[in-house]
Amino acid sequence: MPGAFDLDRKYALHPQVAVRPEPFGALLYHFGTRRLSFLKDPRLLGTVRELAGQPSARAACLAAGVTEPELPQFARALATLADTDMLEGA
Amino acid sequence: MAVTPGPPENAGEHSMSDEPTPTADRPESGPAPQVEQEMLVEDVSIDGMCGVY
Repeated sequence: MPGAFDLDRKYALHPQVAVRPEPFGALLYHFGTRRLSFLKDPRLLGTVRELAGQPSARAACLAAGVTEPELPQFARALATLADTDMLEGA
Repeated sequence: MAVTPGPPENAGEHSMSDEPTPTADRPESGPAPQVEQEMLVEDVSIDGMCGVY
C-alpha cells in the first residue's frame, strides 16, 4: 500500500527510469529495480514530465491538466511511483 | 389433545458464534461503500521473465 505522498513537495523522475509513451499513457522501466510500471492515464505521463519543471507535484498535476477533484487519485498514483522508486524527492 | 410446541431449546441463551457471519447474508445498515477509483499505476516486476539478447 503506498505510503504518504506530499503533493506540495518537489519530485523528479529517477535517473534510472526510462519512459515510453503509449496511447494508453506510458510505460516506465526502472533499470535498477527491473520494475515495469504502466501509467494508465496520459495525464499521469504529462504529470511525470512536468515534475522537473514545476515547484511541486501538485503544480505538475495541474500543469498536466489534472483537475482539483482528481488530485487525490493522481496523488495515489504518484505515491505508488515514489514507493517503487520510479520517483524521488528533489 | 393438541400438544403445544415448547420454546426452542436455546431460548434465553445468547451465544456468539466464533465464526464471523458472512456479510452477504446480513443486510447493510449503513451507506453503500463508494466504488474504488481505478488505480492509474500498475506495477509489474519482470525480473527473471526476460532474457538478454
